[in-house]
Amino acid sequence: MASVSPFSAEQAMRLLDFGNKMDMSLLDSVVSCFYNTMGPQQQVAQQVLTQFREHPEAWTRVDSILELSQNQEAKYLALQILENLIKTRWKALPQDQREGIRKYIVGLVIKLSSDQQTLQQQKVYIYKLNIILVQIVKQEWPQNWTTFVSDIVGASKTSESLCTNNMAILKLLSEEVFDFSSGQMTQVKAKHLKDTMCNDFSQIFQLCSYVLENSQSISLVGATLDTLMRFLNWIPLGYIFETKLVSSLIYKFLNVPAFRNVTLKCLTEVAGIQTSSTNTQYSEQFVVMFTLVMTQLKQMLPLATNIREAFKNGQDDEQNFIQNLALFLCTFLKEHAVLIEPKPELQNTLLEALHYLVLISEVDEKEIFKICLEYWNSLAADLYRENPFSSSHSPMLLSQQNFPPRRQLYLTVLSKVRLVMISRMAKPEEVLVIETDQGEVVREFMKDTDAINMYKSMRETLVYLTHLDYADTENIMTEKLYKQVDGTEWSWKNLNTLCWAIGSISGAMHEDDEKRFLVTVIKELLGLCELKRGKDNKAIVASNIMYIVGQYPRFLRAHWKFLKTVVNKLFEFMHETHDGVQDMACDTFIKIAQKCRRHFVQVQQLEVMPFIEEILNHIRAIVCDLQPHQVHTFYEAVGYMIQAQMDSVVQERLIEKYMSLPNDIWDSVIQRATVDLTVLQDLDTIKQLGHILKTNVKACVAVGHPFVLQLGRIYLDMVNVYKVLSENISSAVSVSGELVTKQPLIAGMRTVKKETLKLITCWVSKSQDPVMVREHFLPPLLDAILGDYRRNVPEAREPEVLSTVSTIVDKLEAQAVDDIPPIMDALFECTLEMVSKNLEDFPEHRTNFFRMLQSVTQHCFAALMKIPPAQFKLLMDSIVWAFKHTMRNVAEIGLNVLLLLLQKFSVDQVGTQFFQTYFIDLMQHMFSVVTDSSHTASLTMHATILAFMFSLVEEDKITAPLSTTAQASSNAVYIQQYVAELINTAYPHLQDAQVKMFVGGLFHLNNNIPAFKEHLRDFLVQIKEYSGGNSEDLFLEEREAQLKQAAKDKRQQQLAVPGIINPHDRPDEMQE
Amino acid sequence: MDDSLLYQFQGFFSVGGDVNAPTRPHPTFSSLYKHKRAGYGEQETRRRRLLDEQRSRRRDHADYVRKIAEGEEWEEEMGEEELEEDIDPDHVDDASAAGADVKEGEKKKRRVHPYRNQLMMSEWLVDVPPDFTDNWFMTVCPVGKRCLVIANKRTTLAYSRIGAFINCFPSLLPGGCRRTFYSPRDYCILDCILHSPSRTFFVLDLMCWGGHPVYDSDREFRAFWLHTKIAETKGVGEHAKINPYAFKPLDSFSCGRDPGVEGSMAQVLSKSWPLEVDGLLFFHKSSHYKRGTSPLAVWLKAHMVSDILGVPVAEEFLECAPRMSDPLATPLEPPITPASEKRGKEEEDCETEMASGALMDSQVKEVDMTSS
Repeated sequence: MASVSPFSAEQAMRLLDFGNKMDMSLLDSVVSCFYNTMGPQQQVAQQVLTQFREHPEAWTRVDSILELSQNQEAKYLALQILENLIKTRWKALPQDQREGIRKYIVGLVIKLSSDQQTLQQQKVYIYKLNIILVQIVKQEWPQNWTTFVSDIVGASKTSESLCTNNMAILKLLSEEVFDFSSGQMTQVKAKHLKDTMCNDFSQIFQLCSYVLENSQSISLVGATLDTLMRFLNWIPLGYIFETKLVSSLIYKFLNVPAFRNVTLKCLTEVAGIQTSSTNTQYSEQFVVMFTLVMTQLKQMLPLATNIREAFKNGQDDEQNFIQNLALFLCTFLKEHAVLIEPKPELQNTLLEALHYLVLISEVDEKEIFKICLEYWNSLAADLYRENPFSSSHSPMLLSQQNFPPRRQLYLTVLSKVRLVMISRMAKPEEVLVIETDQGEVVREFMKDTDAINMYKSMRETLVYLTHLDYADTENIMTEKLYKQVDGTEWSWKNLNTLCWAIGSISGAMHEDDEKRFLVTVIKELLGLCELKRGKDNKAIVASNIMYIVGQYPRFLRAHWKFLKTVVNKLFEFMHETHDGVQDMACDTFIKIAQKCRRHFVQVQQLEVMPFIEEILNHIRAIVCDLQPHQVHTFYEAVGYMIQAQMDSVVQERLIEKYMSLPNDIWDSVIQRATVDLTVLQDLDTIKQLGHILKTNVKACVAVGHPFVLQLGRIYLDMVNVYKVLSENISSAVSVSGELVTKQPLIAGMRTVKKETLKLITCWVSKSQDPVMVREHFLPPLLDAILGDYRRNVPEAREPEVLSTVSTIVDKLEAQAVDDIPPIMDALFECTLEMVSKNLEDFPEHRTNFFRMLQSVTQHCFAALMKIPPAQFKLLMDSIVWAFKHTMRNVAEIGLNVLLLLLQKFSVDQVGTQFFQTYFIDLMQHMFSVVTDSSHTASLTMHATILAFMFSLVEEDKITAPLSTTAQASSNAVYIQQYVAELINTAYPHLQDAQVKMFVGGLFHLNNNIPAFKEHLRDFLVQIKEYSGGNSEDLFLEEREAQLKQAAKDKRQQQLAVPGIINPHDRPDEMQE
Repeated sequence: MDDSLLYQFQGFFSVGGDVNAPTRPHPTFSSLYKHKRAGYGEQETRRRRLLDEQRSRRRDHADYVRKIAEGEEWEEEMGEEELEEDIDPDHVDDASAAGADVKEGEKKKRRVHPYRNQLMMSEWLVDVPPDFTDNWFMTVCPVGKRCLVIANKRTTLAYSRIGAFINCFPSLLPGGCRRTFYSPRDYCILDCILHSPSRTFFVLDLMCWGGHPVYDSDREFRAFWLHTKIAETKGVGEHAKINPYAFKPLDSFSCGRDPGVEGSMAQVLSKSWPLEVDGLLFFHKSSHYKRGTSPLAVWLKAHMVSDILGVPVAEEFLECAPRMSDPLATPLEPPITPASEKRGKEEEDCETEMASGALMDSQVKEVDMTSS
């Protein structure tokens, strides 16, 4: 490492003087200061280097830095400068300079890679140089560098190390052109390069074949195979199947340890080639390839190998081999097993391949298992769909001889696969206990984890497998269960896995078989629970029993006495103090309540009253040992039962009884608060209110619309409590600042407010009577809650107020038109003020605010028209503000609202006025987000909106002139000019022809969103590059031809629809 | 449906292993009675043994109550009688075989959570003690949440039976608020039932008052001490800003069977009760306060009293104590009469039920045979 010699800021600035020769040792010390030190000098170094890098002349120093610098990091800096030059301003350089740079880089690469030793030592540096070279190739080849391929192929023959590096260059080029071209090159250019590469491929292929046949160098052959692998997914199939390529891969390289992994990857690429069922040209070659690979494999990896153990003890290379083997077999069998299956002489080979896969499926490595799982899933699904059982007859009647022939073939393998699935079934759902901002411990279900996806996929596979032979699934499960009982396989993990598997096939068996199976399973597990000592063990077995029971609602529904026994047992477990048992009981209870709800409200055989009555009679005793979050779950569960009661009179009585426990406490608090308002400043009381409201929310979620009875009972008190608490918070914030909201009492008050809003939102979204919502629930809300929102300090405003309003508007739809003015009055300006200062503060208010605007636009468009112009302007500004956000969800809402508005106005009489005022502005803002790289994620929506706007203009939907000066003959012409001008001003480096092409495309493609989007994407590529007046590489003619074709197609389409084209524009057949 | 599955599920499926736990159906009242197994008749034997042990073993509770009051976790030697329920010789081995985390040395020592399982829990009253009338007290328990209340260092805390935090508030109990805090040793530990709507803690038992532990005192003394102390602590039974929850001691009645005697069990049960009744708790006069379940504290629901104790319970009292039915209390199979005239409108339902039941039975037998 070069030592850092001190330098002054003044000295350092000399680096930026491009008039004189550069002081290389100065650069070296500045660079090394930047990378290796800290403090003020490092900052100076950073500044100077940034300026240096961005200087337009910087690239002229590159060659001397690469030649003379002693500092590796300085060399990288030089290469960065060069790469940037090639990517953005290459075409702007004069021809001779480009050629100079190209020759310099080629020379440097050749020099460094000609020697095996330097190639090894300077690996990273050469890699970077290769990338630069490939960037130059992308710019120059083929028009300015027609001989590139023959150059590189020719040079490869001079030395092995040079050839090795050239292979790396070809690999990079293949990746750049075929894998990563999207967004980096325009569509035409990418196509052009692909075509050129295919045309010139024969030379490259000859080089590869030559190397593979003749070279003795391990590194060269390795590099060649690696490069070949990238080619295999695009080269013409003849190169693969009509040459000796495949057989030499198998015979020469597959069994060589150094090459087996890359060879197998190549073969996997070949195996992955899809051939249509009609194209059987190469079928024979696929079959031969498979048999040859299998023959080789059996020698390398005997069929009796314990792959699971081998993997566990293996090196990286060996582990990779197992993974690659899995990939090869799965890919081949998925695509081409149909070619093998009908050949009796190959069935044994097929079974051997499947045997490998079963062995690999046992390997304890998730990624490898996923590969196998995907194949087993598709195989099982395929076999099932080919011949699905009808549910009318029991599969027991189907003896083995009756299996369809294809299934017969897989019979023994599938049994092993079943065992694998059952032995490693993934965890069904993740239960987490988390602490919220309010300091409460709640349970949260983490959705969509890797494990849950794995479970879904395994479950699906096992269900198909069970359909294919249910008796076998049952046998395996029962066998494994006995092994839990006799202790040979007993462990918590194994028991859990087995029970998840048993629970996963619910519904797959015929009902009678399922019942018999389930009774056996439960009895065995009950026995196991009794047998095991220690609460830990018993709790595990118990929760597994309950898990299985909860998975089989059909069984529960058919056996009331058992269902009742289970539920009573769950109530018993709700008092059990052992860790996790109460949670398990509550979770199972709600699961069962949802699936069997009707059975609890009907009078069952031999019962005197519906079971719900008994639950409600004892609700206090049942929940007395539960923690708040468990009580909430319990209430939700009971709510589902009550929801199932269809008789509204009975239901109302149930609801009253159901809510009496929380209502008693609620009433006593309200009673005390009426006497003395300071009761509402008592932490304990506030916590109780929060708890009660949460219980109400859960109950409402489950009961739905009929919950109106309970909501009506507490509504006015609740709104008043809300108001009082909100005022308390507001004054606390204005006295002690925003931090006070973290204090327990204030946080508790906020919880009460939030839960109140949640309760209202929840009920409104479930209500079936918009009139009732509007007449009874909206007025107090407008009065107390919205008014409070406006009066409050911003920090004490709850974002949920906005979402509550969205929900109400969504529910009332057009009926809310008259309520919009007061709502907007209370919420609009004060919220806009909060979110318009920057792009980050109040993120929840932000999303909820714009979502509210979306609801209002969607349902109460008429109300927007009545807004005074000044406020309407504010609304439009806020929509533009929304889609300029980099918070993706906010931007998306903003774009949605905009599109909605444009669509609504396009069919409204006042639309003309709107478009006259805003169209040009909006278009300008749209272009500014389209060209902003932080918004690329929304490109599809941008394309949709712009395409809509252009089609409005093109189809003359806007009847008044958009131009203020009225010079243009039509809006279309005017917009064309306007956009062209806009782009010319923003990107002066673009050529007129490019701009014209772009604008033309905006019109021609506006009926085809995907093409419109690609057109925008091409434009984004173009604005990054300075063409310097050189247009040969832009393929403008080709693109123009494409666009003309698009315009023609579009017109054809329109002509086909009578009336779409203005009769004056129609080529009139009646014209004589 | 196969009844043996129901019996097994209802009767022997548990995590805690206490067959007499009141969270399960009363053994006499559930249909399990017919399936009585070893372990039921020995409640009285266990009571005798426990009383003997109480006499021979006195422990120093001063340190113990300090730990609870301070909320410290501590480790305790295993093998002590109170911990027996949680220990199993093979459990630790099983757990390690399962790959579960077992810390070194857990075999000998066990962490004690300061609030979990600190309350004395009752069993069902199964065997009526021979000295019931003379040596036992009855307490009527209101519906509510059982909790451990600790007053210490100017604040009062309530924890659920399983040790979950419920609440924190001031109280006039010694140590429970600024006004009643004289010394850091002045803590109180109480066993209460919280009735939220009336903001009242009904005090069931007393473990420590003003820093003096009474675990090893007889129940008779503890009840007396509780009443005296609460009575002499002004305002603790009233609601006030400094005492937001009222503390009211629950009365103990003698277990006399003569309804004519004032304050006897028989008299209490002969009229209505002012609060909703959860059940009746009976304590042996000489029982010490023992954490975990104790056969010296036994429990009955009001409707069971006449059957078990032979004492009549008035309708008025029963109305204050709603009951939950036992799923197996109803006969498991409907009496099947061969006579066809008995078949009513439920004929079809019955038939399918019976048919599937019969099918089940034969199939299960098959499986049982193969498995044995």
